[in-house]
Amino acid sequence: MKHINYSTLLSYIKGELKHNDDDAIKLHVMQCQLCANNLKALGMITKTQRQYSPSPKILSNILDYYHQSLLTKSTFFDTFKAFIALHRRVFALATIIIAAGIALVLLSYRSNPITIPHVLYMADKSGHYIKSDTIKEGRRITIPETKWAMLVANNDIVFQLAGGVNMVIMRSHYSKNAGTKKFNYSLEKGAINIKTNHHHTSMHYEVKTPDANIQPLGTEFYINVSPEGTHIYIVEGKVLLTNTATKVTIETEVGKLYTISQTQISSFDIEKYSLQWINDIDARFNNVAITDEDLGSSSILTSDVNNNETTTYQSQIDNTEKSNTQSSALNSQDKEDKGNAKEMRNDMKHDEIKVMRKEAKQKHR
Amino acid sequence: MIERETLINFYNLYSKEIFNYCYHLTGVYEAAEDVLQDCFINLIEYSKKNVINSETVKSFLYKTAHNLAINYLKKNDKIFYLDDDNNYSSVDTIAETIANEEMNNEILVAIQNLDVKTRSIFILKRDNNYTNEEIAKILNISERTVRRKLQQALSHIMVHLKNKGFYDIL
Repeated sequence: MKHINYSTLLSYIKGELKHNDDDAIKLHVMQCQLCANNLKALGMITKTQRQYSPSPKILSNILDYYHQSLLTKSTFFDTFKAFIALHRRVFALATIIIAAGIALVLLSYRSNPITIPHVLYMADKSGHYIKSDTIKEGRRITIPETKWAMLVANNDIVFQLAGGVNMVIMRSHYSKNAGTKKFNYSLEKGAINIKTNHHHTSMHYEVKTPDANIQPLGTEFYINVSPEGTHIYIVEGKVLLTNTATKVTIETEVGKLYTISQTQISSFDIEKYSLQWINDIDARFNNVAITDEDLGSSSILTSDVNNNETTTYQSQIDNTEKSNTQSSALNSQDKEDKGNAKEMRNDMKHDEIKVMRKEAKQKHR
Repeated sequence: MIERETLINFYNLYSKEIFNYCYHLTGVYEAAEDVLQDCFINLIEYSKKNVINSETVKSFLYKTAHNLAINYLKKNDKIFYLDDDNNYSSVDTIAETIANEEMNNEILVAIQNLDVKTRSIFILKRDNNYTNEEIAKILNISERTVRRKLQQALSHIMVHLKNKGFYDIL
């Protein structure tokens, strides 16, 4: 005999079954003792229990508390809290709007660094330098083997770029928020001399090569990136040198040559002039003067690392033609920066020219 | 803040059923009274900062009662039985026999052996005649959970009665 399940019996107890089903259950229960027992037990389980009433003192206690609450004076803080609680949605919305506004102001303030342009000078056939143009961050400078050039950043960092140099100005900007100037360069190939006239705590610059990360601390040094590794010769000051592969960092000493390869950093006590690649740089740069009036012709290639745009700068026979050619050679991106850079460039030009002329004259004597 | 007359009106409307709910949940008369009193004190405090809605006050009182009763049970972690003065047989002619009285007591024991949540659902369903939807709202759970817990409660009580040898039930 098939027995009736609990849910059907419960429905029977509650009178929720249809008339025919109700009769069938009744008939089954009369014949089946097990289902009769179940029905009885379920009836007792689900029967509403006796209802009790709480003692009257409970209401009396509640009303006492109510009257005490009325008598207690609410402080200003309580009133303020109640007001906030009543209008909490409005306050929450206002808080979100204000927070979003502050965040927007902060974001717009922080994400506005000013680009600092570099000034590129090209050497002509007679060894004189002619200012080519301003170069902004994100540009690659490629010097042909037979040419050489000079790059000046912030009227302070002077790069002497020998033939065969391939370098990218990764970053060159001033952060208003932090009050710092940051310069990052990637030297991929070739030999250069870097000289910093002053050391400022607000100015940070780094040169990366395939083997090393070089962080000068106000100094003069030479770098040569070749297939064998990166070579650095320290003339004065200090440099923090990090091997990219091993992450080992050392502080350099004056008058030493450091060679960074995949596995290690080696240092040698060596005379500056016993290194041919340094001699090559010095030979080209020591007997030259910077002027806008010198004649000659040379070409230097710069290209945008993102857009692959290429610009070739040609030094010309006279200043008028030079200026026209340079204007046409500038790509649209450079033009945008030209106005901003003009003032800085003029200042840099005069100071830089004076310093370089003095040094050249002294050495020549 | 809530008006005095409104407070008394709410008390007259809901105090009895909330008291019985607390009583069957805790099994102790004095505890049920304390919980009931605290429920209405909470209502007074709540009314200082919020507008009392007559449609939701019942749900508020039940939720408060449920939480307070659970707190009481946590503090008094023991198995207990309803007070001796209960006379369940008086409302049922069948239960006038000694056997039925014993069975009734075993049902109460089985109910008290349920976990607090299941017990609360079972009492709300049986004694307060709430629908599954209403129970779900009061206890902030799903209707599916209410249905499942009710089935569990029923099975548990039936097995308990079978183990006690009352009937040869399923």
